[in-house]
Amino acid sequence: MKPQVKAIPITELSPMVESLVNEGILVEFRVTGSSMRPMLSNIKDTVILAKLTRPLKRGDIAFYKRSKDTYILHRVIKVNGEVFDAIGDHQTEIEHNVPTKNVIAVAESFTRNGKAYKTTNIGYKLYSVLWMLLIPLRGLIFKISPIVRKIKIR
Amino acid sequence: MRIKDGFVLKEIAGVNVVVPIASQMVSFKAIISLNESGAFLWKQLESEKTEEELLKAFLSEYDIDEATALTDIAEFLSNMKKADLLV
Repeated sequence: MKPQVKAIPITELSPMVESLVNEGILVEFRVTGSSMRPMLSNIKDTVILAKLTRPLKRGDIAFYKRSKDTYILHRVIKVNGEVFDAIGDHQTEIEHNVPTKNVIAVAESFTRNGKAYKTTNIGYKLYSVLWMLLIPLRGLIFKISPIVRKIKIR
Repeated sequence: MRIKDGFVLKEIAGVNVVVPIASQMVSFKAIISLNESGAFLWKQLESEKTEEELLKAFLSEYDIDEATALTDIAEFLSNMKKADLLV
């Protein structure tokens, strides 16, 4: 079978993550999957989570429980009182009405290509605002970018 | 003798975990899983190996064609580098 390297899926770490952040300890783990690209890439990049100590807001990267064994790390795009909508940076379908009480932690910083960034970083905030505004166009962008890349290579 | 300062034992999700209290962060970034063939390559890499030596060892252990082994090993090495595990 093909040799594989895998970051431990968040789901397996989740009970520990929850206990640790609730004690005020920051938790860092490697990103798995590609749903948060281009911001975060599978295996290479990491995210550092902290307990949520203020209301959840648009732009936050929330670590939340979707169901009994499923934990998700996606971006909050809308908060409606006790529920919120979320979407991965590499996704086009919005997940609606997730209960805010399902949020375990939010990203307070991350490492990308070996460099550390806080989520208060201006460049990062600009990226997240712009990228959220482009949600309606993401489908098109994802279709065009591989083509553009092929043209550049030629 | 006693436990060094800076560590505390916490029961987390039914597991007794030693947590450093001085650093306010616990990192799981070095925790990676490998499958059986990945573990085989890891053991090969415990001593210095060239890509050729890896390929040879892999081919003598697994029944697979050279072309597939080459691409699979290259992808494995790329992921190991991403996880910052190779020199």
